[in-house]
This record gives sequence, C-alpha cells and structure tokens, in this order.
Amino acid sequence: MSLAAEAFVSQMAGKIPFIHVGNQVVSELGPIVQFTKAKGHSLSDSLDDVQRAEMKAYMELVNNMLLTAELYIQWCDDATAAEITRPRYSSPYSWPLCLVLAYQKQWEVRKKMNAIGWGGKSLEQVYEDVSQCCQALSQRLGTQPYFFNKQPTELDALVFGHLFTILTTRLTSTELAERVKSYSNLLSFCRRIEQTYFEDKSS
Amino acid sequence: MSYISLCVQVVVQRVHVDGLDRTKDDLLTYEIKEVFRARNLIDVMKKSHEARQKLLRLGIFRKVNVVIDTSRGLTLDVTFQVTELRRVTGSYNTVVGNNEGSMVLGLKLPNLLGRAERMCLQFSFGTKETSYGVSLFKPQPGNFERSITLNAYKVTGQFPWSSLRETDRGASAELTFPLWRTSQSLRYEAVWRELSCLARTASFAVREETGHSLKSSLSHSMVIDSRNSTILPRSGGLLRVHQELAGYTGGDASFLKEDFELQLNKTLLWDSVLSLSLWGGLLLPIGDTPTSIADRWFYLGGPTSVRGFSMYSLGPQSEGDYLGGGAYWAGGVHLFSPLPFTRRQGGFMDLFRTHFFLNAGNLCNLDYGEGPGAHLQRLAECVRWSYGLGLVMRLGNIARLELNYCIPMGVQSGDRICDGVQFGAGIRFL
Repeated sequence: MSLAAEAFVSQMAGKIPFIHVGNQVVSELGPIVQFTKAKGHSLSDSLDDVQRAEMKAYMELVNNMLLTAELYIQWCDDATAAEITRPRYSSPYSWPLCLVLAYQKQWEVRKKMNAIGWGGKSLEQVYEDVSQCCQALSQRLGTQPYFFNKQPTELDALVFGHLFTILTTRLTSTELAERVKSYSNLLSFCRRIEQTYFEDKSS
Repeated sequence: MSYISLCVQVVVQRVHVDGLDRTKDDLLTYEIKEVFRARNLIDVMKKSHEARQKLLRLGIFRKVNVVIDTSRGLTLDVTFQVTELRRVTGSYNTVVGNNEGSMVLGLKLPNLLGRAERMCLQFSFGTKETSYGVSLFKPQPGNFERSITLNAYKVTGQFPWSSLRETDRGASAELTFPLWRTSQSLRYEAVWRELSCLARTASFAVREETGHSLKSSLSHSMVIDSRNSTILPRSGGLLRVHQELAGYTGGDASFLKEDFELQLNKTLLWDSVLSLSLWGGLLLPIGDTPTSIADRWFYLGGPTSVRGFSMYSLGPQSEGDYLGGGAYWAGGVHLFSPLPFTRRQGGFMDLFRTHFFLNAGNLCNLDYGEGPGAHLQRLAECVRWSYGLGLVMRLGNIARLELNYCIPMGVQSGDRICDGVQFGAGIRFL
C-alpha cells in the first residue's frame, strides 16, 4: 500500500491493515486474526502448541526487525525521507498542510526510534539487522513451501507482506531489496504466494 | 456661587479628562468633541452624558464621572474623571457541558497601545480537550464601530451526534464596519481541520470523512438588529445574512455557503410578545470537490432549533451517526407572556416568561443536477414539526434557559425524538 493511501487509511481505521465487515472496522493483523478466529476461520489450527509459540516468536521478530528497519530507512535516512517518503506521504494534502504533516510524521517516527534505541544506528547497521532477520527466516523456511509444513499461516502472510513491499518499493538505493534478494528461498517464497493468491488465474 | 439659567446660551470653554495614564489624547478628542458644540446647559448635560457613554463603550475605563462647572461668566468647564482599567485583567471560569468539564483561563490586555486596542488570550483545559486562542482587536480612532480583529486559535470540539472529534487550528482576519443601519464584516480564515472518530463504533460514512484538510475561505456577514434586547425582545427585528466562499484562495475545501436568520417581534395585548423566526441555509459545492462534513453541513433539531427532537438528531444519518445536510430551513412561532399573577414590572419574576411554540423545519441533501423546483419540493416534503409550551428564563442579557413540554410531529424514521419534557440552554434560539 502506498504511503499516501496509508496516511488516508490510518486516519480512518487507526492502523493498517484493516478490514471492514458489516459496520465493524477491525485494524491491525492481531485483531484481524482474532476476529476471523471468532468467526470460525483460522490458519494456525493445525499447528501444535510448540509450533504456535514458534510462529508467534517469528512474527515478533518480523515486527521488531523488518518493520522497524522499514520505518528507519523511510524516515531516518535523510536522502530517502527527502526524496521519496515525504513527497509520497504528503501527496494527498494541499500546501502548506503537506509540509506540516510530513514533518510531524517524521518527527514522530524519529522520536520512536530514539525511544527504542535505534536513533544512534547507522544505515549500514540497519541493513545488517535486516540481513540477520532474513537469515533467520531463510533458515526456518529451508526447502518447505511455507514456514510450517504445506499450509500457509499468519507468519507467512506477515513475512510475505513485508518482503514483497521491500522488493517492490522504489527507494533511493536498492541496497535493502538486494539484501533480501540474496536469500533465494525467500525470493521464491514470495513469488509462490504472489502466484497462488494474488495473480488472476483466468488471465 | 454663580447660577446659570437652563436655557441661556453658554459656551463650553474647556474639557478636562482627569485620570489618564496610558490612553492617548487623540483617541479621546474624537469621543468628546461633541461637548464643545453644546449651546445651552441642557445641551451640555445631554452631550456630556453621550460622551460618557461613548467613553465607556471603548472598554478601556472602569469608571467615568462627569463634573460640569462654571468657569467665568457664561463659559463652562466640563471635567471627565476617568479610571482606567488595569493593564492586565484575568478571569477564571469552570465550564461543564458536552460530557466534559473544563477550566477556562482568560487574560485580557485592554488599551494595549493607548488607543483602545485589546488583546485577549484564552486557555481552556478540559478533562478531554485543550483549546486556546489569542485575538487582537484594533478599532479606528474616532470611529469605534470600524475595527480590525486578528485571531489565532486551536479549538477541539466533540460532536457525539456524529461520532466525530474535530480539531481546528486556524487564523483569521476580520474587518467590521457599519454601513447605513447594518453592521458588515468581511473575514478571511485559514483553518487546518483534523477530523477523527470519537468512538470505535463510528459509522463508515463518518470514518470516510476523517483526516486532515485545509479550508481557506472568504466570508461576509451582514446584521441589521433593531430589537430592544437580544434575549426576549419585545419589539424590533433581526436579519443576519452570512455567506462563505471557500476554494478560490487555496486549500482543499471549495464551496459556497449561504445562511440567513430572520426574527420579528411584536408586543400584543397584556404584555405578551409574538415572535416569528425563520432560518435557512444552503451549501453548494464548487467544481468536482465534494463537500465534507467539516465544511459545517447544517444540523437541525434540539432544544434550540426544532424542539421535541434530540440535539442535532434529524435528517440524513448513517448507522446512528447524524451527517447533517446540504440545505435546511426552520421556522418558529412563539407567543411569550409574563408569568400569571405577577403584577410588578422588573424584579425576579421578570426574568421568566411562559411561551407557546410551534416549530417546523427540514434538513436534506440536494441533488444539484435538479432544478430549483425540485429543490423546493425536497425541502417541503417530510417536514418535521413540533408544538408545545414551556417556561423561559433569561440569564443576564446573553443566554436563556428553557424548560418545555414538546409534542414532536412529522417524525421520519431515523430521527431521534425527545417526547415530553425537554431542557435547553443556549444563546441562539429559533
């Protein structure tokens, strides 16, 4: 999802992703998973307790490393923020509101980075963190089609969401995408999910 | 001691103003120059009294006394003994309402630069919201009704009937001047509006309206007020026309908004007063930009407009959230009469009136592809109306309280009614 759309949607629902069912709006992955579970659908029913715990641990890893790294590169790398992120974020708003909102968002993200100790990190360190995270995911995936056996789980959805975004989003440098691309099984994992679930099969 | 007959020609030779500290002389010359024109003693007294009223109206003196004295022969000296207001005056109020309590701190700097300029600062710390504002007021010396006001503010308001919270940060400049018997004002305003949902249960129609937007608008308003009092008048009329044009000066919002208010009062037998009022408004989108709920769509219903309905709870709605409409009208007929068995004019009982009322109104969205005939038809169908009687209490000369028994009629599905006893407090009433 583009940043402009994200800005718009986050106003509507609070956080992305969100679903709109009847007159209810459920936002963020956790609540959505719980919501569908309450309705009788779950992707992780076939897992045992150990696997479920493992899945949760990997999901936390993705949230803590990949998500934070994406935010860092978008907002804390000055070149990316100036050339890509701020123009994208401010595109739906008119002048001078666009400037105010973009800098406000940047300030918020930087404050958050400082709070979690990422404020002092260099770009190279962040790329290294992404590599480590991908390495861990790559090892867990191994040669399986999905992270747990043959059935996709919430973890697969989360990993696909992040990796696909990293691979397809244009930034000032391709370094981030290159780091991900060096793990060939993750790359083919993304392609597999894209083909299975998102490509129109009739065409 | 010398005496002067009331009708003998006199000359006012000197006018003193005692007690001035920071007020500039030239400002006062304009206000008191009429006193020199007086030709006899009655005239002097009358003109001095008028000058005193004019000085008090400037809002820079706490007290003005007039002393008229003979100086030599048929010449008079008039002395105004004034007490200036302090440089800074503060106020402190607590306000309860709208499911929240707040503390309002006000700071006023009257006569800032010596020519009746005024600066006001206001902070409101609520249990949920914080608002603040600063305004600068500068009248033209010698022409107090002509003035410029600059304003900067941040205001947060909650609108539970729409499940919305709106935070406005804005600045405005306003020019006010009299023209014939009207008071005109031209205003430019730039506001950054931030809308968010008040609750997680807010309807999707309201969610779609949320977000940031910028309104930059020019507005004009005209008021003719010949009523003898703003609250519970006995005679006279009021016409207020307001129009706002947004979109040509930048910003996201583009619309033309027209709004009017008409009120006529007439005293009938036994001190009873018949009051007729009519409100109407229209919001026209300009170009392809749809208008947003933040462009202040019109709302109707509640104890201050169409009685017998809940606050702003009639007309278009989505899942219980009232969305307001692009066009409305409302009319009311009231018959006010003093409380029975009270003979004496004035006194505590004079604060109260009984009234019978008949209110009607409608609020809808117009399809601007249709012609004016279809618009009138839309506004004339499904009219909500109500009647009843109640007790009105005047609070100072600004606000009024009402306790009514209402019978709502013409209720449409979706409208929230308040059948029976309804309590209302406000400044502007239909």
